[in-house]
Amino acid sequence: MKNKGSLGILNFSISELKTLYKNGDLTTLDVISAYLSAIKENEPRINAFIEVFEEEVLKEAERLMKLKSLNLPLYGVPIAIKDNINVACHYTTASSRILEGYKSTYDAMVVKKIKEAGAIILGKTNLDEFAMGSSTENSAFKLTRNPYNEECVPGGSSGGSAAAVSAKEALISLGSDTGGSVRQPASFCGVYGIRPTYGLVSRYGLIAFASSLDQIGPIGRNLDDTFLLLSVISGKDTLDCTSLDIKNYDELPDEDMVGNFAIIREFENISIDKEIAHKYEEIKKILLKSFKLKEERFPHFNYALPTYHIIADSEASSNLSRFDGIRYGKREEASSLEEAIKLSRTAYFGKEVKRRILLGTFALSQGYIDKYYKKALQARNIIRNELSLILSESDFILAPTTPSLPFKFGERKDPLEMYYSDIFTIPSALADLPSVSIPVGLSKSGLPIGIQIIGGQLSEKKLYKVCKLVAEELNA
Amino acid sequence: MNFDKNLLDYLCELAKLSLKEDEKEEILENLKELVEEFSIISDVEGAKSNFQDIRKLSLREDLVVQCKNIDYIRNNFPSTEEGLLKAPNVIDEE
Amino acid sequence: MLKAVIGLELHIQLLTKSKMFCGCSTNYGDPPNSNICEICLGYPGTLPTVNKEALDMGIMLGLAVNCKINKLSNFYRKNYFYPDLPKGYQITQFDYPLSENGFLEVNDKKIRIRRIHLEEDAAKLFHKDRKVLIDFNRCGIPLVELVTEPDISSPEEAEEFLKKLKEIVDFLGISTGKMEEGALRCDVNISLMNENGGLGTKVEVKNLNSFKAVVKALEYEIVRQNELLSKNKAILAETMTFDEEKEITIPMRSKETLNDYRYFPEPDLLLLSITDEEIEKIRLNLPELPQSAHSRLIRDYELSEKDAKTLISSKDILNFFDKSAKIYNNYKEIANWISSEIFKNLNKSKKSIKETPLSPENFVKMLILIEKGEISGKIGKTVLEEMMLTGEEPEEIMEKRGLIQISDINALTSIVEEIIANNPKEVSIYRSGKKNIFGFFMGEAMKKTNGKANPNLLKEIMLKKLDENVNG
Repeated sequence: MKNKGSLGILNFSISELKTLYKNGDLTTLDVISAYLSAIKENEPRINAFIEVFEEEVLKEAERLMKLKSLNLPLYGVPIAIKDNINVACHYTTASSRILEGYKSTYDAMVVKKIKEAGAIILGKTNLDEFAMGSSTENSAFKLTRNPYNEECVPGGSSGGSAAAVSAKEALISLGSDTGGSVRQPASFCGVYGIRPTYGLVSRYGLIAFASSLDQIGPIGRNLDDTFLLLSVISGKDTLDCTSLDIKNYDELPDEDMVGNFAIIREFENISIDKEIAHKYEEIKKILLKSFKLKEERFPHFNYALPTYHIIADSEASSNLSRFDGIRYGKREEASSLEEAIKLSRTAYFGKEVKRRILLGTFALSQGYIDKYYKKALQARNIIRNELSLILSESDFILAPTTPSLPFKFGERKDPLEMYYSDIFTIPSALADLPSVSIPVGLSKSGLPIGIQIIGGQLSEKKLYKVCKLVAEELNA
Repeated sequence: MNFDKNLLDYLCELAKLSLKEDEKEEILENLKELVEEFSIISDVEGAKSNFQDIRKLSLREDLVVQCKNIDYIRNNFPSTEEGLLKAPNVIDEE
Repeated sequence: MLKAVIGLELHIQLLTKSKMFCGCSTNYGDPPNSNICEICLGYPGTLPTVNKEALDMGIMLGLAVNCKINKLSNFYRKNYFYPDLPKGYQITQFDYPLSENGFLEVNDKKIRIRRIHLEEDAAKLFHKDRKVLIDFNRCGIPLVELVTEPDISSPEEAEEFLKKLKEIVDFLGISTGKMEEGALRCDVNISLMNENGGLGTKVEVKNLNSFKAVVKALEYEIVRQNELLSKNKAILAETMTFDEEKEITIPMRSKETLNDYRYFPEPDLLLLSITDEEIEKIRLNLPELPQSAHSRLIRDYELSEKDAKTLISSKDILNFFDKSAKIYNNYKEIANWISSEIFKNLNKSKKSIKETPLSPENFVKMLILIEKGEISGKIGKTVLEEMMLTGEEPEEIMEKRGLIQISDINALTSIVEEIIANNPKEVSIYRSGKKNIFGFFMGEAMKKTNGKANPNLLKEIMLKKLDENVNG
């Protein structure tokens, strides 16, 4: 084992690790030990992990060392998994007290795939309870801190996954994105995050929040690593009827560029942090070197937030009905079965979860369903059509990822204020579109800024090229 | 529209949540605000409410697949009696 | 009495191998919680997939009752809390069901069928002391829900409808249709038509576990509602449960005082799309339906209405008849024996004909022995009963049980002479010209020989002996 120094190891990308593994310069044990040390050192401050698989991880590293299959795409790559994704024989909490004690009996499809690809799962990361939130403050267990400024939130709901990668406690991680929950924390933590085309990645094993919006997405420190992880987890799953008929990432179309990119007037009318605006303009200039700009309209933009919350909360209110303490999870005893169920749910669901369940129940209830839920479905169709139209003439849409810099803990107490963080990430989620958040630099105060590239359905390969172009220009 | 305490109580009953009085106050305020904000949705006209997709369902062959983790699942049962899962405490009216 | 207006809501369990939305076995009678998985138990992160066979069976039923099959249909979630419902919602259909607007003819009257749709069954609950115990084996088994228009006007008509429907699902092979096993469940709704021809308040009755219960419950309700109206009292639109012991309906204390199910399209499933070709293929492959079998029996075998009706009461019975009729052409005789002795034995042993070892070949062999006069009908019944228990051939049984006929002329002659000698009074009545009393002598001889006397020979000898002395 060459003495590369623990810190050095943490900086290697997946392809660099691959080379080092192949040459015998590094072993999986070296790498895992380095990451475990990093976790030990950083966790007391960052709190990205709910659980670290300390013993198992070393055993797994040893097992992989003995394998000759160095050609596995994620061989010996340390990965963290958001704790709303099932990993067999381990606790999965969704950062909720109602699932305390629940041990997964099966691997999510994405977990199966990364295991087969040779990755080593370091542990499960913190999130907003049931993925409901934009700051990870809604976790029932711990507060995850932004590695760039520990008084600030890491974003959410995949705050733990983004922070772990950002703090170099993991090389890559998996999060889930419903209205921005991979992209926004990636942006806040200065790392890459991808929300895939809806249906490209199987949802089987992801604890459902909003079924028609949830997607599992990769988070990484560089573009290639992040897209590599995406390619490993993509592909049709017969257990998930909503997954697309795309066998694997390779089968995605590799289309030529049209040569245009779009900016949306309604987006640009939103007032955002000055420094974010500045970076946004900078990126625009970079893109103008290779693409023509098209200014487009998005007439139903101001319906996006209500549409999202009504649909997501409605589906969530139904998806969370299975948590009654009867078959698994935490249960209360009471004088009647009805009481017992109510007690469990009331005691063990957090405030935000209860709010959303009640809002969703409202939107679906007799007397209101036509005005709320059904209207939201219609609005969603319109939004889909408007964005599709824009993307029929442009290769991608440029947008900020978030309207503000990472904010401080406790700063966004009002739900609406918090929901506003997702204003730029919600529309593409509603339209089932893929979208990447790339880190484009720091603010004067040292806080990360991210920019979003939104593509048409199944345009991930195009998005990669665009992101590569931007990343290379920025690094130059 | 009047989002009041009665409506909240009704929704709590549907969702099997029993909020304490102070919790109720706060959530009522929150929900009032949110519903107010989201009410613009009723302005939306036009596109008929589609089925979620025009994609069609693919079907599963009628074959028995034995669950490999059945013992783990039974171990997750909080309480059992003679192989049956015992629900929390008491019976309700029948 | 005011006219009854009755509608039925049926739930029919389908005979697929695996469940509606997961691959668990649907096998009946397995130890509790042995056919379960993460999906049917509503574990977090799991998703449903749709069983093709259940869909095909649903289409078969729709076609058999003249429904229109919808080429596009959708699954919905029905949201409510109950311990037998793991996900806190049932995946079912709501708007855009599988099929609609059919009918079933009952006694020359068309009972319209509003809709047929697919859904999943709930778990089985057991109440012991004050505990609720749950077996999830049943949870997720495919169900078809069938709703009729309120076209039924009497309890008897309701029963006839149920019988016909049971025959249909049996003949289609999609369900056993047995209410006693829970494979066919029926809720009824009933109102009385008022003098102006308008509909009265609708009352729903649940917890009906047999055809008899359906009839009794409806009869009781008709009386109850009429009585209330005659006293100018209002009928409450409530849900009743049927008390089997007392045979009365009593209001159900509603667990779900809120019937706000918040139906919305199931986001984990896409549109169900069925092509014309698929429907046609199923239609062409439909097995013979009870109606056609009924006509066929009358036309090809010249059986009576009554016989035909009996023979189509189950597909297995019909098969047995058909197989027997292929090798023996006394069709009436076959039908008689099936509807009397075979049914009697089946009821006694509580088995179905498939579960007994009786083969059509052996059955026919026995009938032929009777036809040839080698055994009496009485012996035949005994032999049949034995065959239905052991599956042996008639000759084997006759030998084992010493039922071999007495065909020895000398033996028979001495018996006949003994009877004639012992019954002088009857003899003179016969010889005086009242030949009807002949049956008495035959009966006595049969008694004496325990039914073993060869009937034809016995008759011959008896006649000879009785007439002999007359002629001096």
